[in-house]
Amino acid sequence: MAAIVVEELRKSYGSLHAVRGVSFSVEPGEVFGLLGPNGAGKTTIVEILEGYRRRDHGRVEVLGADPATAGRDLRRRVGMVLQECAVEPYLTVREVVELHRGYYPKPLPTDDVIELVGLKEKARVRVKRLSGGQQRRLDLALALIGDPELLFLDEPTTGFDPSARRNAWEIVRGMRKLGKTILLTTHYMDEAQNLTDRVCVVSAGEVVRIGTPASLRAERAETRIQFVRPDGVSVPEVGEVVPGGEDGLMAMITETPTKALHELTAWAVARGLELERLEVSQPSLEDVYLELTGDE
Amino acid sequence: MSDLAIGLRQVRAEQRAFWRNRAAALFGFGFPIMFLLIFGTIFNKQSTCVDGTIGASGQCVGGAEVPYNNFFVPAMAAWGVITTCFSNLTIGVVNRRDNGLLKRLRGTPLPSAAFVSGVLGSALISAVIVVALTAVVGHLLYQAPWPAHPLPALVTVLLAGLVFCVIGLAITPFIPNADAAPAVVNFTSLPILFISGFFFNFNNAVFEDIAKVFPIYWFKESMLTAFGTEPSSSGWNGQDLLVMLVWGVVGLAVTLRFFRWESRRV
Repeated sequence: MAAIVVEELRKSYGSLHAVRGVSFSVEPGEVFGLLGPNGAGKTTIVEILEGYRRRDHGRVEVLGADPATAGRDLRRRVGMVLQECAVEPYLTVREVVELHRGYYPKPLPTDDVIELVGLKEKARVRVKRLSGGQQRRLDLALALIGDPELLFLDEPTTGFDPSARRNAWEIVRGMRKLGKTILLTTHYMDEAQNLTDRVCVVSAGEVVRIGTPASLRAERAETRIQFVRPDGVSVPEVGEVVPGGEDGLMAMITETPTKALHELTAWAVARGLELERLEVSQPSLEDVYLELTGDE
Repeated sequence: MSDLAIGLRQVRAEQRAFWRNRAAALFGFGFPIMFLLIFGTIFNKQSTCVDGTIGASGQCVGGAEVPYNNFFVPAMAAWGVITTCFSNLTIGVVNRRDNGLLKRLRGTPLPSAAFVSGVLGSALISAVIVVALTAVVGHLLYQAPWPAHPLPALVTVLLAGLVFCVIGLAITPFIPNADAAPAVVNFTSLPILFISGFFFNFNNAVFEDIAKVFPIYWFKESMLTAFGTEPSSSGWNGQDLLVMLVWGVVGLAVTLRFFRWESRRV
């Protein structure tokens, strides 16, 4: 049985159609990424799954229950990191985690969870005095303390510095190893690329693509070859010339990179030229994402 | 863990947060105590009628006269209950609604009733403390008598505290955002405190008729009775308590119908 089932989900706010017929399902143990630009309907979908919003139409199942009516039993099995949600500022990290621990039937040990999210040094500090990134880690701790089967992570690493983000990724990978199902939304394509088994790209309230990050990247078969344009010579066009993105850079895309690269380097070697900053790259998930969501 | 145990833990956490938040603690305790020190000192040696009418020596209804602070101490104790249960609670709940704390709790298995019990229980503890503190300050500085009827005083404080908590919850849906909360709270309580004769009696029939609509007036009356300022054999005044109870029921109905756990999206 799927951990999450969404079929033909629709939700409008007045005349704004936030979600227009979205369908997807998440398997147990899967890390599923919901991607899309601001206003695409990601948070509305997640909040319907979390039980905060009522849907207008469609079928939704979370761990076999309808979140609109399931109530407390479902919330015992689910952990959530929401966007912009405060914690009691005058309690310490440890006090807050301990308080939340009491809400769940089979919670994890308080100190383990605090250590897991990297707040051990801050355990006795009041929430008020934490930095933004530390508060976000506390959010994660509160989502984990009940040892949930399913985690909703709505932009969990927003405001993290690069090393904190890597740590958060490690935690998510650890959760995945423990067999937890995770639904995460993110703006960071490297995060989706690194963490998710499958992603669902939504735009303007509709699903534009569902698949593994690799399969999405494979949609654009072209390989990009770029280098600093050598002075005074005309370079053979071994692929379709595209904007280099930077002054003096020449870029070409091709579907036959081996051949193109061979021709290019043979040409350069024959003239004794060194192609400065030569780079061969696959389209990133971000390139595909930008194309799919029409932001390019 | 049982729901009762969860509720008690919530009370403890709320109390802890309340005392660590100096602004909240000062707002709840500062005003009544400060006014007790100012008015209590100014009018210390004066006598009033039991309803707080100043300068009517020999003309009091029923003839009874008492030192001003016998009247003023229970009145300020009542105000303390209103600040901790109504003002502080309302401002706190609106703040937490706007910063998403209530929304977060809705996503946990914490029952709404346990959360609300925590907030109410903590406010009632603070209310009892502010009443005790007012009585002690009044007794030590101004020789005001201890409450003549301790049990009725305690029950009155708890009942009124609960009613003002519920009224506080009931008005939160009509407060648009956290910035507006202190203004709304003060505008809805301070004018009524004045016309209800918390500081002294204006002896203005129109004021009094308006004041009698609201629970604040009846709470003051019941405190004067329980403290023994108004002569009474038992310390109970059923009518005062009944009016407050009616307000509590109305407040509860409004809360159940209109309470919001999330701020409106802009």
